[in-house]
Amino acid sequence: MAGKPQSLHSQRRRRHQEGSGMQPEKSHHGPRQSALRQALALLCLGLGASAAAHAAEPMEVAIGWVGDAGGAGFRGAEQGIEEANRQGRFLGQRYRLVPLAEPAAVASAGVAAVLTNSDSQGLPGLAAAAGARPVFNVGTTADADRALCLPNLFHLQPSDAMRAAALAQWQAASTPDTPTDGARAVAWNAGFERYAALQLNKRFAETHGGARMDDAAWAGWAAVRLYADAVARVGTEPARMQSFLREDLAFDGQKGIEMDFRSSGQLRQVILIERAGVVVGETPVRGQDLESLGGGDCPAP
Amino acid sequence: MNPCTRALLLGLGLAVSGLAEATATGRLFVTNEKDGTVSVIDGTTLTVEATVKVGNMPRGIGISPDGKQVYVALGQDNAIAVLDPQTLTIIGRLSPGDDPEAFAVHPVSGHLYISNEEDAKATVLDPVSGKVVAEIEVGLEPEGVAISPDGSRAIVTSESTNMLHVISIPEHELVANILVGSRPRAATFSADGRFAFATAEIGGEVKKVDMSTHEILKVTALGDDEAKPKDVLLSRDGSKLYVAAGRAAEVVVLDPTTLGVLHHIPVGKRVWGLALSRDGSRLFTTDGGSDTVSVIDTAKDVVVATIPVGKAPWGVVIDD
Repeated sequence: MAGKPQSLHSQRRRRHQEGSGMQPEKSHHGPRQSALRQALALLCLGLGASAAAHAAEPMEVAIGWVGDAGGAGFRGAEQGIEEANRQGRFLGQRYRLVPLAEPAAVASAGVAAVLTNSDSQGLPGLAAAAGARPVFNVGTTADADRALCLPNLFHLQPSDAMRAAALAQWQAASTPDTPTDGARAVAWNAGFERYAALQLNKRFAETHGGARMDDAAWAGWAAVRLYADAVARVGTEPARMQSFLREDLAFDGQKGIEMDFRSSGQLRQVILIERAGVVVGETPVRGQDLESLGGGDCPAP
Repeated sequence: MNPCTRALLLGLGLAVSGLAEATATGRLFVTNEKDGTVSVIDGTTLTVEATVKVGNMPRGIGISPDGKQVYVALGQDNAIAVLDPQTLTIIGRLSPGDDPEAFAVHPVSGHLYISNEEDAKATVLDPVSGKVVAEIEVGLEPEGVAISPDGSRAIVTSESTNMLHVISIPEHELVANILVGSRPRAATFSADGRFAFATAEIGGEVKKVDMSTHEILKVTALGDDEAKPKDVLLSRDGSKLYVAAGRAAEVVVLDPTTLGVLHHIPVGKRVWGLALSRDGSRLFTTDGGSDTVSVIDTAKDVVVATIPVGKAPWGVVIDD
C-alpha cells in the first residue's frame, strides 16, 4: 500500500456542518448603544441571568436497540446516550435508547435510528424494516455483512478483513525483537490512554460499575455519539442524515484520527494491536493512512 | 460588551490600577510536564537561570495582571502552585478542583478561569482568597480557555463534545455554545474582541468566529496530516495569526482575515505552547518533543535561538 498517491479519505469533501447547532443561540448583547444605557448599568445587574441563552423545548430523539440488551454493546450505547445528552443540553436535543422487541417494531416505535447487535442473518431484514433510517451494526465483524451494500446500514466494528490487514501491517512494521505471538487486532482496549481514550475508559467504568470497555461497548458508544453529533448538525431527517453520514462525517471516537464511513458502510478507523490484554501498537502505522486497512467498497449506485 | 459588564469591569479596573505593579523581571517561565519543574529563562541572555520544582505534571501557566504571581496548574496534584517571579519560591498552593489543565488569568479581576477536564466544568478561582467564585458546567473534556482583552467574555473549548462555550463575565452565564469540528483545543481573541480564533487538534483546523453573532466565519485546514494544532495567538498588530502545529514541528503563520497560510516557521518537535513578548517582537514556543523553547523574531518570522529546558515543555509565560 506504500506509495499510494492520495487516500480516498483526504480526497473527501471537508465540509463540516458547523455553527450553533439546530437551535442556534444568538447573542443577546447588541452593540453598545448609548451612554444612558451605560448609566443604567447597575440597574441591569439582575438581568444578567435572564440574558443567558436558554434553549427552547429540546428536540426528543429516540434511538432504537434491536438485539440482546444485556451485553457490552448495549452498555456502550447507554454510555453514548449519556454523553450525547451532555452535548444536547447545550444545543437543544434529548436522546434516549429504546429497546425494541423485534425488527418490525422499528417503523412504529417513533425511533429516528437503530442500533443492533443482531447476527448477520438479521441485518438485511432490519435494514429493510428501518426504511431510510440509519441502522448501526455494532455487533458483527463478518466481511459478508459489509458486502450487503445497503444504503442505510453502517458497521461500527472493524471487519475481519480489516483486523487481518491491521495485524499484518503492524507485524511488518515491528522490529525483529518485538514479540508478536498471540497479538490480535481490536477496535478498543480498556487500558488504552492516548487521544483521551483514558477519559472515555474512566467514564465508562464509572457508569458501569468498573466494567471494562471492549470492542462491542466501544462500537455501541461510537454509534450513538457520531449519530448524535450528526443530529446536532443536520437534524434527524433520514435522507439528509444519510447524506451527511456518507459524505461529511468526521468523527474522532477518542482514537486520534477523524473517521468516516466507506461506501460499504464500514467505519474506517484506527485499529489497536493488543497482546496479553495490553496495547502494543496502533494501526495505521506511521506513514500509512486509514485507507491502508481496507474495509470494502460497493459499486456506485 | 453589554453595559452591565462594562460598568462592572470599569469599576474593577479602577480598583486594580490603583495598585502598584511589580517591576517586571523580563523572565520566561516554562512548565516541564514530565520533570515536575518550571524552567526560568533570562529574557535578555535567553539562557536558563533556574529550575524550580513545582509538583506533578505541570501544564498550564499564567501570570497575575500585576505581575506578582505566576500560576502553575499541577494536573496530578489537583492544585495550582503560586510562584513568586522575583524570588523564584513557591509562595502558595490553590485548590482549583479536579485535574486542572489549562487556564486563563482575567486581565482585570485576576481570577483564574480553569478547565477541569474530568468534571466537564470550568472553575473560576479568586487567587487572593483562594475561593471558588463560580463553577460553570460545560461539555465533555474541557480544554482550552481564553478571555477577551476587555474581560467580558471567556471561551472554554470542550474537546469531546466539539464545542466552544462562550461565557459572559462577570455573570458567568453561557451565552453561546458553538458546534465546531473534532476536538477543539485552544482559542484566542482579537485585540478588539470582535473575533475569536480556535484550533481543532484532530481535525487539523483553525476557525474564525464572529463574537457578536457567534457564527463561524472561516475554516482552514492546515493540510499536513501531522499538524495537530494546539496553541494559537495573534501578533500585537493583529496582522498575523500564529498556530503551534504540534507534530508538524512548525509554527504556521496565517492571515487572520483570510486564514490563508502566509508561511511556516520550523521549530522543535511537538510544538504546543506559545507566548508573545509585550512589545510583540519575540514569539516563544514550547517544543514538547525536543525539550526546547524556540525563540522567534517576529519581524522576520525566523528562529533566532533554541533554549534547552526540562522534559516535555508544555506552557510558557513572560513576565514583561
